[in-house]
Amino acid sequence: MSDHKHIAAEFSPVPLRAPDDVMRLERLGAFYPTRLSFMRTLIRRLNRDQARVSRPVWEIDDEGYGRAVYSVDVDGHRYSLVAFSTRLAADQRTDRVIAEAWDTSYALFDGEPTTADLDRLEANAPRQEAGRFEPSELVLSRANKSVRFFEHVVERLAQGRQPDEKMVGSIGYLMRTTAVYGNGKFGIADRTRLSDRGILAGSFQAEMLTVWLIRGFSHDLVEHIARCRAPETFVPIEYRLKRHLGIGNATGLGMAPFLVTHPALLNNWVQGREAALARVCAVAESDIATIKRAVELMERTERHLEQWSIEDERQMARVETVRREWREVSAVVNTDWLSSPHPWQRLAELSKDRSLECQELVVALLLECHGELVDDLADKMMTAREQHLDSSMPVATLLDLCRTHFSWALDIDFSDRSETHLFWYVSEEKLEPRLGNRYEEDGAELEMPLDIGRQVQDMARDLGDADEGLCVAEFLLMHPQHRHAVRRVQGVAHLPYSEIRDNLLGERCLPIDMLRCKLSFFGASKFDPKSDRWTRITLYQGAPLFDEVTDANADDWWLPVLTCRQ
Amino acid sequence: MSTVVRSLNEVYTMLRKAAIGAGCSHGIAEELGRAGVWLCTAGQNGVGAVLSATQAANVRLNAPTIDGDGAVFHHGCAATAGPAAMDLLLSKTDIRRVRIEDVDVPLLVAGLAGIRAAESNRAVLVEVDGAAKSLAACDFERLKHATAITFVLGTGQLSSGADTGVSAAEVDAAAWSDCEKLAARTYVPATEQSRVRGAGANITDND
Repeated sequence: MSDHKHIAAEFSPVPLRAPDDVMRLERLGAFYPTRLSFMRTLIRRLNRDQARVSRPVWEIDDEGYGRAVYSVDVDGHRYSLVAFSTRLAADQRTDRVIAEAWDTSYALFDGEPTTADLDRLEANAPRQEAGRFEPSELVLSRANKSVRFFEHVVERLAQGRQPDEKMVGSIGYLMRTTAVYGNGKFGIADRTRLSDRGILAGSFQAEMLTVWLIRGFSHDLVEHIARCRAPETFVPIEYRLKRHLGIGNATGLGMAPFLVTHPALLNNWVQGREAALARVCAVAESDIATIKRAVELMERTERHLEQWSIEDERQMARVETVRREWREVSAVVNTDWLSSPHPWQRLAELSKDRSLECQELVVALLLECHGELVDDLADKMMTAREQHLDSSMPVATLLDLCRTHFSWALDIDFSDRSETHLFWYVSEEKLEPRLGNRYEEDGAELEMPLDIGRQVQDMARDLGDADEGLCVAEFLLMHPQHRHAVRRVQGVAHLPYSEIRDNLLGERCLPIDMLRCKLSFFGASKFDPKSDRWTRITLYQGAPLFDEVTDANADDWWLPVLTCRQ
Repeated sequence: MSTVVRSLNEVYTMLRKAAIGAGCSHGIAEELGRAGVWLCTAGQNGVGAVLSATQAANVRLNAPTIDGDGAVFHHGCAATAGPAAMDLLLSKTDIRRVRIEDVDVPLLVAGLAGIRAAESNRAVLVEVDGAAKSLAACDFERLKHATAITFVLGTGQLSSGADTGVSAAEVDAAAWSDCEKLAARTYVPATEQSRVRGAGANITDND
């Protein structure tokens, strides 16, 4: 039985897509950034609230080392990015968690830091996980230079020349963040401190603000070094190039468990996106302005896809497929075609016999041209309350829920070694999350509980043997080991998009799909996988610069394209 | 006593991992972590309570004796009997009161009651030496030394004692260190193979 019918479709006559379709790893791994992604939401809010960015401290030497502070005044509060740039030996430069030193380090400070605060942070921020922080710090982060490109830009600007456009297009950032910590890590403020802060109250908004400020710092730093190197010949980066320089990010397995350990949040993210799609598909007829906008965005998308070239063979093949499919779709979908009834539903249908990349790109496009219709849903994606354990539920009801929502798991043969091939674990080495082969490596007995499907199958077996008249409290007295599975199953009954509906232990599981899913909700683009469990991405590419954030068109940077010189 | 300040998220994460390291199931460990945080926000030694309770984490849970509208857990281990007692009390069955006798860490059971009451928005009263009080008005000093503790389902809504405005907890440094040792049991020893293959990424990134 499908649980599709249980999902409220708000006021839309179009039902939301079924969780059994949406929550598969393969589809999650094809998600694109949308206008509901957190970076987009943040920039819209900064724009709405007329945020002002200033740089009260710039104590950076001629070689680019020292400290700086950027302050954002918004919504009656001041938030300050405290940035440190330090020397780093090449043999220490790694983007992995196991790193112990970085080119730059950062803290987002709640308010305006005093000199004493700066000194305290200077002693701790460059040490990252080895440092200690206070609740006045909201986010902790670090970034490494994209070494060859950073030096190229310095050299070109110092010579009075602009950076090579091909490199700007193919690399797209001067630095890569390698971790962005929030919510109480290493002593920084718990998320509850931000719960009444309006603009920063929602999912990852403080982290996204930090990354936007880091991007601005990377621009300033490269120009500063170039200016100091050759003040007579120096030129700043052209705005169109600077706007295209986002901030890179290197992401590994640490991001994947988050989606499993925060089911209510995952549900709200996906449900918001699906509700938005349903609203758009329910539009019976569209106005000419929206149709023109859609056609424009389809052209932009085609150019964006052309500029997305990477080394990873699997992803590059998918990009080539979606390029071809997009051209096919674009050949059909013109102003006349969209002027007929139910244009967006028909466009979604048109994509259904194409790749998942193409289907999800269409979803993102449909949302992009309907801001007024969908933007309010971003608020519902921002917070979540995990479901409580209902110990009064009859055992028979719990078993029904297993069958309804976890049929995908009940059918898996976990005695087949290929279905338990992987185990997720935390290494004692700087607590780096890793993935092992259960049958070749030690440590499987310490695996993290990401085996939700296996847990539910085990519980369903015991539920089937239990007296139907029992309630969950009585069942757990006999089977206390199933407490975790009870919560998961009860949760998904209310939050249908809260569970990834695939076996995360299976040989076919590709963690990169989970990374892309989460990163798409951040708003990342240009996914550049380096393996099946590690990817580089670009954040804030095309986004407004500090002095553009209050401009009228500050929200128009979905799927950025590097424009040619006019 | 030497103390350290830890964020509430650090407290939750550490207690959950310590409980797993001590042998608790993941479901129980989550509950203990939440209970520890609840106690910290109520100004109590949540870290110490969870740490103490994990010493009996592997004690088998015995079924309670049911007598009318009451359930009694004998020889109560807070880490296992505590969650089970709250399950029963909030199960909408005929059970209106649960008692844990010979309880090893009564403070932790109060934390478990506090978090479950908050989650379900149900009023839970705690009874020590015959006097029933809301969790908010509970005499924690008296409760800590109780040998038996009874919880009664109230008629109203939530009566939680936790202060949601608390932003960090001051915890005993030695207890925290003990938790770290337990948590370390959940980490897989590093090997060259896991270093190279486990994360699927480069060791250096000088491009």
